[in-house]
Amino acid sequence: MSEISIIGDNITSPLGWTTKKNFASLSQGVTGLKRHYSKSLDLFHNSGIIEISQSEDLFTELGNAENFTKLEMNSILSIKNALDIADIDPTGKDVLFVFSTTKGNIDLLKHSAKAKVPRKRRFLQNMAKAITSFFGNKIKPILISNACISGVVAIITAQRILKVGDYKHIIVIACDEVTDFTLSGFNSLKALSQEPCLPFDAKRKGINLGDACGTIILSAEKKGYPIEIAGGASTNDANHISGPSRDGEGMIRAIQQSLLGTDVSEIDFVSAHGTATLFNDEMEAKALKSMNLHEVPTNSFKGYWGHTLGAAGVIECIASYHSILENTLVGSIGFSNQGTTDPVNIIRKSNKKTINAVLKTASGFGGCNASIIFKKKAI
Amino acid sequence: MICIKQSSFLNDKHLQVGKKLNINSSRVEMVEALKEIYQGLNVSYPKFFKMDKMSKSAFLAAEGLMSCCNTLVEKEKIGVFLMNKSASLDTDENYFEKTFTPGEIKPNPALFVYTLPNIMLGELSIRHGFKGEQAMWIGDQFDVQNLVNYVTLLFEEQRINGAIVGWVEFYRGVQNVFLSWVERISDNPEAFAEFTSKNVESIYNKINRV
Repeated sequence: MSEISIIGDNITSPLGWTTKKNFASLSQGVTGLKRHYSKSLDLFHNSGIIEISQSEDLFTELGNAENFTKLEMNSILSIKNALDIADIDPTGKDVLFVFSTTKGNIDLLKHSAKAKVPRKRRFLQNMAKAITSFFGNKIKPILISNACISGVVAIITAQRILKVGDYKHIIVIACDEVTDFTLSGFNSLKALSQEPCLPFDAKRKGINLGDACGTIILSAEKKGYPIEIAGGASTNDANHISGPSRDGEGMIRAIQQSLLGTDVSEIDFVSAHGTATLFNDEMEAKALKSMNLHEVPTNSFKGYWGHTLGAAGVIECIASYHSILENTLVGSIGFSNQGTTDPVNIIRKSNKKTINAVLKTASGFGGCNASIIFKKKAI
Repeated sequence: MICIKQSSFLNDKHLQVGKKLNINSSRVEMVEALKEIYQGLNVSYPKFFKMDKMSKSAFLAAEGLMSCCNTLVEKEKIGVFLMNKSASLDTDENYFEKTFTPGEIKPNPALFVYTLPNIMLGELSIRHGFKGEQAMWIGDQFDVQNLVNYVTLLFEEQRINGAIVGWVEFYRGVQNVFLSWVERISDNPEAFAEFTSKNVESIYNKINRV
């Protein structure tokens, strides 16, 4: 069995168009979230939004912006940048795209959507095809839409598929954006905070949403970053469709399954899902406590990007293993006072520290949980 | 050996599980037909009535399937792997219309929850206690080869010992559901078909022609 490497990545968010730019903002405690107003919902919200004019400006060098939605342009820009780093040919028959998105081009349901974009691109696979054809790739992509664990599942899936041996490289692309559709829904569930989100804090009131695309290129052939994916798994709570289990049992099993081959004491950083809803953070804290991980430095990246849904798993994984590469523990924005029954060791301010193994967790509607472990490769 | 122990098929008026179960509905209206098939299964599960149509479809096909399979696989080792073409667009469009019709913004949280295609995996997991690996894939057609390869790898890695694998499509009244129960067995006296993409494809094509 060949070793799987990460050979390129990109984070596209209001904090910037590259991983480097995004990580610099994280290290400095700069958030991409701002107050916005939705006219059609008459709702103020604190979200991370990439202005479409910026996407169009950058995209003009690559193609005709009229033919693509903002989400597609941002995805293409993200993939392009990751490909430049990885230096591989995306047209190869041994190159597969794996997509992660929850709502894709849901904004195409609006009458005001771009006239030149065919409405059939509201179907996720048609959006995916528009993107893979842009890069001249003819292989049928795999598309994962598994709520908020989609991104983590996409990386685990890509790693597993590479092990089978049919492909040399897999381009994992994850994307979602802030829409009136998702704002209205989370607001109706009373899960949306109009103020900056406060993961794990006593005063947390709910999530913020954010635009983001993330790309990770995995390879069975080339050597890339000195990082390995040491384990990963998904589970279901079998308990409730829109709320996490109270005892965190499903999350605990997801962590246990991804720890096969890693001793829990090796984990020196946890990047939690930390959405800043009452129930999610409470459940995660319970799960970390019962795994004896509650003293390990932990953060949530949601205070920087908001909840980016299908993109969250991928951009947060990228930030997690770059924390290893940069020897930096990124502080969790919005945390002042412990707000969970079981206390967690939340990182208050970014600081330098050697990190060897990070655990990333995610959970979502439908009772799903996922976790993945990245480790520094032994040289 | 990993085998396909049973398969179920559901379209707008008809639920069939191998040669073991056959329920027909005479109702024209989709919701009524789903209800009649539900009644034909003789189950009492009030949550069924809260589900969107796609989850109802998945529920009925899984209910028929699991009632015909006796399995001892532990719940933590049962995975659910589904695929479809339209994700949750049927419910998305319904939610969008109800929420954004001018003058009446009334988002319905109970409906919003169903605007994710993997919610039906959650519904099946709650009903049957499935707690293992899961994935919801989207594509134009049932990508049997990639999905079977993926699920087989999970069996080989001992992550799962049983799984529901299938296609659950529902969009604008057109419905097509195919589920297989797949299990690791030590001997095979009943000569179940081996879990290969060729066998899954052949069962899927056969029942789709009925």
